[in-house]
Amino acid sequence: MSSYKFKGHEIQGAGLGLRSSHYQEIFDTKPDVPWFELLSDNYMSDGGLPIIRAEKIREDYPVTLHGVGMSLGSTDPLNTDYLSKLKALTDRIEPTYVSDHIAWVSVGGKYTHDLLPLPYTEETLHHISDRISQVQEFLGRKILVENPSSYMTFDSTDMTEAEFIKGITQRTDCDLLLDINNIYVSAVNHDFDPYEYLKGIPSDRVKEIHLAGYEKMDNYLFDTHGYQVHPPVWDLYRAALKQFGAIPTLIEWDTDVPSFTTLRQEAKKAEQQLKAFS
Amino acid sequence: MNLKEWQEAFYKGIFDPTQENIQHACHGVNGTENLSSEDRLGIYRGSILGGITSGLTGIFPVCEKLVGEQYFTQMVSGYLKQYPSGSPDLGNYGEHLPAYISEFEPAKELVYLPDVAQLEWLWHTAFNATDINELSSLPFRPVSELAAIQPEDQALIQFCLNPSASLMQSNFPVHQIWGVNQEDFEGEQTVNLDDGGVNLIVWRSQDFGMRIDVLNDDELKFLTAIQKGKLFADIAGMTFSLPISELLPPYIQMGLIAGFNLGKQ
Amino acid sequence: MKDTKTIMSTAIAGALALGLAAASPSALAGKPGFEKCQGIAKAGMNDCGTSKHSCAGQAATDADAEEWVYVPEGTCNKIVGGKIKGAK
Repeated sequence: MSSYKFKGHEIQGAGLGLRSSHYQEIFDTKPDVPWFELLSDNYMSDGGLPIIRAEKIREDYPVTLHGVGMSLGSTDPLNTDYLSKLKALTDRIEPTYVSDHIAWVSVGGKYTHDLLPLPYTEETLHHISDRISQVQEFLGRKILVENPSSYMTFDSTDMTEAEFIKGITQRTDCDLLLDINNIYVSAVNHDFDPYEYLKGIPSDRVKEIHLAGYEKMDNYLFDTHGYQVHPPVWDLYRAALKQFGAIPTLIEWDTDVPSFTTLRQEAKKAEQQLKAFS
Repeated sequence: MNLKEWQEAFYKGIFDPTQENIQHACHGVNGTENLSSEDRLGIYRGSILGGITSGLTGIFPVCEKLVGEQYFTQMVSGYLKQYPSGSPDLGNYGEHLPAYISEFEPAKELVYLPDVAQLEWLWHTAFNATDINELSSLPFRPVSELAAIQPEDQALIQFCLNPSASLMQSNFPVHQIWGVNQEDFEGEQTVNLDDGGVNLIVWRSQDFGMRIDVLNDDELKFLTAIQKGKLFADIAGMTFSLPISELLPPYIQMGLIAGFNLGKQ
Repeated sequence: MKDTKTIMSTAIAGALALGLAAASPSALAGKPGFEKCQGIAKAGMNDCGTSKHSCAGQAATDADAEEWVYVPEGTCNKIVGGKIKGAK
């Protein structure tokens, strides 16, 4: 017996990040996509079409909800208004997973709408772990937290990002959304070995993987999510699958969103890799 | 500097990038040969301002089209500093842009621009406004219950506009400016300001159709009285060129008047 | 002195007779309004008001307002007249 409105909560294979320019094609053709990921923050208005569309998608597909507004690393109090809206959305959409980032977005009640870096210290680790636990309690469910791309490190940092993430999983019972592109971007920007990074991640916690395309700038890699997945990221992805198994994988494309066909081709590539490890 | 102090310093270094603020924000940030700590802050600055600006462009596309991308970007950079975003939802940001533009010296010649921005903001809020359905807790009774109101209580009726609806007046034909700058507009883009001002209502119908309707002075007067919560008896005492029996029913039928409450005598 | 009671009861009877909250707003006396984003996705309009957030970064644009000369380069050159109006 189940009180769920929607059927289909299990996700596997290569899903797609839902973008509004693709709604029509999805509604018209009902493509064979294993699941869609919705950006929670885009469906939190009081009413109107966005949530109607989200429900229509949900009738045909499992979905995951991925957010950018929790501001888990902020020193502000948690925004309970935001969390209430998120909870209402999860009640309505019944996502398989709810995720957000290991980052801060706001300070003093002012929002930057970007995912900002944290010094990886014991202080920060306690701080963010406490907040993740509070969020999980508020939402009444586990969340997945994701590693962001970063362009900045700090003197005070006394552990690697992988150690920090492992620490979070030890202090909270949250799971992980590993963004392979972000690992690679940060590895190049901060000159660390992304393969060593993977080895430090607790394998049993990784529930979802993200793939996206970065942009090569003069002196660094910039994460625009505006390109196809680059070859070194595919290499790192294969190493991740070898370590973690055939983890459900999502293609994210935010800037210069391509045709739905192009997006699906990218997912097909991930699907092929996944088959080799399942 | 603890985490909170650094986050505050970082924020200042982004939105008010004086030399001093940048130095503060870079406190404890590692620089490398290729990228100094200031460069790294600059990457975040570009990303943050770019992200918010593209959010504003999504809400104010006509304003952006009128002045061009670069001008718009420059214009809103001052807005971001003066009016911080107080919500995790980027869609809640931009309410004060019309006021900011009206004070914005370089745009003084573009006399209609603040009103175009206002129209776009009303459009945006109407698009995202509360639905009229069983999931919403609405502050009024549905119009279907009007039949149950006894004649002696009709005087106390306070009609309520659809939650998406906003009224606006402009000294300029902003609806035309808005119309010719839509993606799908074909034809002559010229708008003559001498066509004069306009009264508008921006709202969303029950089937999610977004509407901008032009109102004559009487219709504006009638809908404004309703918006202000005037009792039906008072409205019935007002003078309009059309009888109220012709003014009221179509608004109820189309859902622009969506409900009512019973006020006190 | 107007008979407001009759005005009110006639208006409400009229509203009830017309039927309530009909689906089509175009029912209103053929008034020309602007319409967009109708239904789930009117062709080409399905992006209205959505897609505000993403977890992508934006490449830096130079927003140093100090040295910028404000010359609008958009469709505002299509707006004519109103010379005498000035600021409202």
